[in-house]
Amino acid sequence: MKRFVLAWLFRAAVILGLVAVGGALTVVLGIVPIKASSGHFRLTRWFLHFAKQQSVKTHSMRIEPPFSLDDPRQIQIGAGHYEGGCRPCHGAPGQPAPVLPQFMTPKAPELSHAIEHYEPRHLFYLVRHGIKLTGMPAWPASDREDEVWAVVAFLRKMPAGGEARYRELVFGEDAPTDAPAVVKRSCARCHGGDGLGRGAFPRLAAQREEYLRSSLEVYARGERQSGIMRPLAASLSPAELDAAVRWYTARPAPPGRGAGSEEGRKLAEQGVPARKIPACIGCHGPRPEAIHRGYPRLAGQLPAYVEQQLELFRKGVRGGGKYVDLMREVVDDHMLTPEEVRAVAQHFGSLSTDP
Amino acid sequence: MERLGAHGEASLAFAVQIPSPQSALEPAGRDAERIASLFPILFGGGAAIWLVVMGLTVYAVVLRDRRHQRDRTRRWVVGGGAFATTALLGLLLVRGLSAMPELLDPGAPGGPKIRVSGEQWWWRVRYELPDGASFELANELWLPRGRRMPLLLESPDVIHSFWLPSLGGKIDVIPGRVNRLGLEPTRTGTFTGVCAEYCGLSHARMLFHVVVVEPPAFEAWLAAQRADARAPAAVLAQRGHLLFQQHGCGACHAVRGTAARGAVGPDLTHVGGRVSVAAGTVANDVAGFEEWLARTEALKPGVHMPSFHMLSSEERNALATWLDGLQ
Repeated sequence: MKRFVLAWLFRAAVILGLVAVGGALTVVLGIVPIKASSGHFRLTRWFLHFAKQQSVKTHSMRIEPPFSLDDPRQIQIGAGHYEGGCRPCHGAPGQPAPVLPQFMTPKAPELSHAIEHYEPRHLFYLVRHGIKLTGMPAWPASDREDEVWAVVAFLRKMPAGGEARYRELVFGEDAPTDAPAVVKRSCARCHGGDGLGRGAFPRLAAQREEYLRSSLEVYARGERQSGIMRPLAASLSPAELDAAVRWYTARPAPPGRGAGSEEGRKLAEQGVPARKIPACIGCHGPRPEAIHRGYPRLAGQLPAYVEQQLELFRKGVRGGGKYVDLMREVVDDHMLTPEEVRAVAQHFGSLSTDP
Repeated sequence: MERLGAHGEASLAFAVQIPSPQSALEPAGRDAERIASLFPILFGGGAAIWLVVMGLTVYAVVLRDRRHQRDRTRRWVVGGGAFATTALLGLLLVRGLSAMPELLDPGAPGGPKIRVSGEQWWWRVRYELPDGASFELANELWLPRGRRMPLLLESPDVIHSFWLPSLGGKIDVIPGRVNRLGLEPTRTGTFTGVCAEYCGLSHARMLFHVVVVEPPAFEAWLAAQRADARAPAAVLAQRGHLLFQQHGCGACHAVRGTAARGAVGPDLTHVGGRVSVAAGTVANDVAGFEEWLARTEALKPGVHMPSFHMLSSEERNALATWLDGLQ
């Protein structure tokens, strides 16, 4: 009996050894084709797709959106990114299907059709983390899941909207003809040729030059996180960066919109000394004395953007240029309440002059 | 960079023959004298008790090395351990407490009042003058010799303790309360006080200085402190002032006579004339200010002021020159 078992164990070991040597030879001699040109066997394709679906379902089980996915501002932000970051592979409503992705293995799906099968949290997981061994990259800024959700908000609306809605969301009015090419190509789609932000994006018009310049530089290096801004900022040549900064700093200042509250005005002009919160205008203006060129102007800025930046500061993930530490100290221990943040953002949004 | 502290002050004090700047045993004020007078009594009493207890221990363990009689032992334990201890401590407590009314006496009304606010990690000092005027400074009090001055102590954040051993008693500074203390210096000189209640990261960097001068010099100091900051004449200082404005320093600091009106941090109107900078952290000179601006967090961990390490050394020099000139 004992001899019988030992004999079988020996045979099994020999077979396993042969399989291992054969496997190693297959790889070392380069026998397995890695080429995309032939695609996968039908069975392999089915298996990989099935495994992907199961993995996404399992890993996205507990993910919930942090804001309403029907928020028009978020949809517009997502659309702005889609045009630059996603459309080149996944196509867009009413536009010819991109050619190169059809020669990938696996093929990049055309999203105007494929999207219905996915729940928002599945989309979030895919956009946030990407997919291994495919062309799908992870989100380039791990602390900016809010941006990923904006993309998801847009993806949900994309198939139903059709071509007209897509064009309306993604492209505003044409930039002025005298705008530099870089502005027309990379900036105006979201921030507008006039720098007024098309109602959803930060207003850049009349912003301080040094601030804009250093913001683009730290976006490009990933020191200020944004999966939307990083690829764009990193693609600019020094001359293009300079042209874009000069164009926007020279635009007329944004007119104030909406009405600010008395509470917002007091917070901005006096701060709350008892809670160690300095007055916002001390660094951001408007005030009669000159303010440093590296500090951002807030007068006329989009309130939702100001709120979002304060939230990023509160979470401790807002990077910036060399002066950003000053703001970190302000936010660190003595944060405004969400109501106060809203009031102060509304106040700055309502201001139209900034001497 | 020379750090100011008890040791630096002590060597200075020795050289010019003035009393130690921070010692309860060398009183320089009426209240400190009263407290110092308790010292021989408490020390003598404590020493006597120690000797008796040690003597009894030696007797019980070494000299009478056999079984003790139960009743007599109990009498010693209850009588000596409970009754005698209570009586002795009670007497010492009465002796100590009897000094309290005197220590808290605010002095004759009508003079300036001094509000001291302990904040993480500095002292906000506000002089309220009889004519309704007031001014603020930081980490420094001036007092006239021979006149009793009332102090009102408060805190907006956590519990601190105001301790100026050379001049008076220690008193806690408690959020939501105004504690009172009177101080009556008997000798001129510069004395050092500390925060004596752990209050967070930089508790040990919360020194303050008290300068005691003769009454006429005190009146002159009051008049000088009330005045606005003088506009700088030198080009470098003017540039420092401009940088101060541009970088938003005025959002936290006030400099009376300029656009800076911040109330978050210390009033800097006459900061150059103070004994030290940042509550005893660096010396009050151009180099001290420069170092403070460049390495704020390293010098005072947890401090609410952000470090201005991003400025060029030339910019810091201009700022420091202006601040140092605010006499």
